Amino acid sequence: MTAETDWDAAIRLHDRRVYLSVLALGLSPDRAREIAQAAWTRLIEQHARGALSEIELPGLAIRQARFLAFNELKKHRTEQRTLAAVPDPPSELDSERIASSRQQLDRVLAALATCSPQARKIFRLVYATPDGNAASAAKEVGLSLQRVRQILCETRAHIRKEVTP
Amino acid sequence: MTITREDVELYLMGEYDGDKAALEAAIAADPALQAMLADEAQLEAVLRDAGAAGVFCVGCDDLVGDQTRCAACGVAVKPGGYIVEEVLVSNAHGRMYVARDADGTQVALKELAFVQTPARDTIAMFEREAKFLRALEHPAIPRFRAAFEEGTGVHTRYYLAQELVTGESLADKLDDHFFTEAEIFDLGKQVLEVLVYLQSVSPMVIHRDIKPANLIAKPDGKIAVVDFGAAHVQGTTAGSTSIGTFGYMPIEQLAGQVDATTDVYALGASLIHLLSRREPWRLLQGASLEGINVSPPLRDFLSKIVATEPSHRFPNAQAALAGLDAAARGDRITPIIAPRRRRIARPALLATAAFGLAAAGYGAHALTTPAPSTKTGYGVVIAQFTPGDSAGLWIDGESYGKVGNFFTAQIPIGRHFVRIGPNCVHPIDLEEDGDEVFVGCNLSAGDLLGGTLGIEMVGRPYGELFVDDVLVDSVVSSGRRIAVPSGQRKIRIVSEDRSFCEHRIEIKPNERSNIRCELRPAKDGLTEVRRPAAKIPVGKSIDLDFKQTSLHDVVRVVSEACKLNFVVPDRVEANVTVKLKQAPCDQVLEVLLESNGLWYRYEPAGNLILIAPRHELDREAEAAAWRQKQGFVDDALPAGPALDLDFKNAPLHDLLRIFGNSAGINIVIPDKIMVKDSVFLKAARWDVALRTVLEANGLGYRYRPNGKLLRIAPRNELDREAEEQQHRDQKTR
Repeated sequence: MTAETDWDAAIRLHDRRVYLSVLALGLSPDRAREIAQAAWTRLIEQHARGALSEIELPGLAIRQARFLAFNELKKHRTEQRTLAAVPDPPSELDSERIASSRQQLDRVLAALATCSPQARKIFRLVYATPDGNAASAAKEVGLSLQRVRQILCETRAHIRKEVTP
Repeated sequence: MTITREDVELYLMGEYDGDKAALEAAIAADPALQAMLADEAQLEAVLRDAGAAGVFCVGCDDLVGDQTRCAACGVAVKPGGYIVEEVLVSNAHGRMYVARDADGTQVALKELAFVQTPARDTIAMFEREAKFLRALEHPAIPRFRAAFEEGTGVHTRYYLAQELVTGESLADKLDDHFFTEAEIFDLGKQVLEVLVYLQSVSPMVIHRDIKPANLIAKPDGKIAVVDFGAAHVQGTTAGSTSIGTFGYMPIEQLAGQVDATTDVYALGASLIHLLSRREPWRLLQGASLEGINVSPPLRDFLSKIVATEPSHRFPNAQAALAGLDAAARGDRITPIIAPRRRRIARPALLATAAFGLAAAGYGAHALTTPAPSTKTGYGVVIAQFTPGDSAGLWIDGESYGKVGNFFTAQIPIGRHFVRIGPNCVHPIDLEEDGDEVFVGCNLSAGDLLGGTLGIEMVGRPYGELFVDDVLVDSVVSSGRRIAVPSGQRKIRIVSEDRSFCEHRIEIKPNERSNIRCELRPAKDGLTEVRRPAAKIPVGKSIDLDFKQTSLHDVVRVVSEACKLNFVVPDRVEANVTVKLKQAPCDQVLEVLLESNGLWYRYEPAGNLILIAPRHELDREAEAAAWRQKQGFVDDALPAGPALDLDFKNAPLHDLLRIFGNSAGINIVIPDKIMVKDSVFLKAARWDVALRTVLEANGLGYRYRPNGKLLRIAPRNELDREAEEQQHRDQKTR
């Protein structure tokens, strides 16, 4: 990946996933968006300097963003003298965490398999299709946008129930 | 501001329609909402990972994991490294996929499946197809990419990967497009150039299945020829297999005989289908091209390209291309059928009901000895009869079997005897090459049916022809001559833009009459906007926000929101973009329909709305008034249960099966009725819903309470039957 346009495409494709990973740490939406942008900027700079030998997306961008987010949280809580409550950024080679993520992914897929064919189709169109969203899914399946959004929320609720311990 | 979990979910999915800044501010101010947001963001992240990691079947959306084939529907996942993205066609012989190769290029991937372990010759046929496809190189033929097989025994699958051609098949295009003569010249030239190429390679390749469905109009206007699955390499197999599509292939192909004229004939049949919108199999009955409104040079070209006798056709694609070029310049070629004169045969009533059997015996003897003729050439005999859909036909004692109305046969010039049914015999004289003669019979009375009516259109090339308010022909054009029952007749032709002409004319037996149809605007009286008798209830106010969405989908939403039942035939097709806030149901519907040239009819009894083109509703209203005037009354239907149906573009046969099962009655519906409808019903009255669904498709019914038997048939057929019954009743009295 050398051209600027390649980064544009990568950001378009993965930015939401990076943003969500930061948001999941408890930052505000504004701050999460800034951190996601900062993560991409750093990656592009490192890439331009030739400091990145291998680029695996969105994993690399997520790790970079989470690193920045943890720093942000640390700084913020240091100011509030609550440093002890902040966990350290996880190691990239934390095999336990990777295994746990894998298990969670398997549980989500198993829960998804028990949804209706229509719900699975909408899920695929929104989550497994590049630039997928509810509007394009609604057009594809012949339902109203509102109904598709409702089905997505129902599917989330079903999966949440199945995967929550 | 109250924030729900659903708001947070939609926000995270990027689907929140409200004020995002206000939502974010509210979350920032509330630690509980922040926790909910973090929690949901974590789930959203996992869902996105699942979307990226999960492998879904493109056929049924089942999760297939690391399987090579979906266990639920059998669609392949990644055959030969190609990632399957879409199933284009699926049938008993296999599937056609859109797939992506390792470089990210989309291909058309053909999969051949077998119910038994494939035989040696099947494998050989596949390998041969792959071999010659690999050798073909023409911009209008999809490029060969790869051929491979997977699996063993009965699980063997063969795959052919080819360049993916995007565009619309001419068969699909025909649904909403009238082809002009200039377009036909262009299409014919492009396809003939491909055929010239196929006939120039050694050994010569014969496609064997040229038809509109296999001709793809690409976005740049170029035509691609696809589906070489039936192709034949000359000299490789014994010509005994009948492959092709009935109607487009010449008659000798049924016997497995193919040559350089085969594809050229099929192209001609396709062009005639595109021009005339008539089923191409009529060509096999020797149907005249007279009714097709094209220039004489093109008509000559078409009549030669689809000549029944192979020796009368262009010998190959190169000659046909030269013929087409000549026709485009306005040069005329010698046609096979050159109609010059049309006459009505004088009846020879050899039989009456009183001595029918004896006369039939005489007729059979007389018909075997045609009079000798010194001239050579061919003429055309066109037979029409009533009542009924089919009758036995003999020419000079030779049986043509049971034939339909307007059966056409090409026979040598001279005197011939045509017998229709047991009692009606006509001597006909075809005096010169190209003569056409009508033979009409009233089978029950044994006399001549009526006269013929020639039509000249002014203003518009096509229109729908009504005789006494009954639709006789949906595409009538200048030069058409149709047989019309004798008597005082009301002739009306209505064009697509609803302008019309109307003539009252006396049709005399054995004579030809003519009308010159000068179309005048609809406002002269025929088609002023006719508002529905019953208005739909105003209903509650609803919001609609759709962009480029099928009208059927929008109607489904309106149906749910406004608690109204709908029937929408699939020929009603439009995409709408609409953004309405708090608009009353009736106005929403009227605006939606009016902007697409559509209108509705509301049945208060079933709270049911039929949507159709305006002119069809007007026409049906007129026809209903006519039926009432004639005293035709629909049979009473039995009581049925209230129906809940939610189908988009469902085949009518399936819908009627549901109707039949729910009320416990038997339904008979002819195979030829191949239409689809969208029906959105909640607690709809069974009888009203059934009548509306039938009416939406120009159909009616007869109900026999004894056998609980409901016969479905086209309305005009039922009207004709009713008229004939009325006539018989009057005679009996």
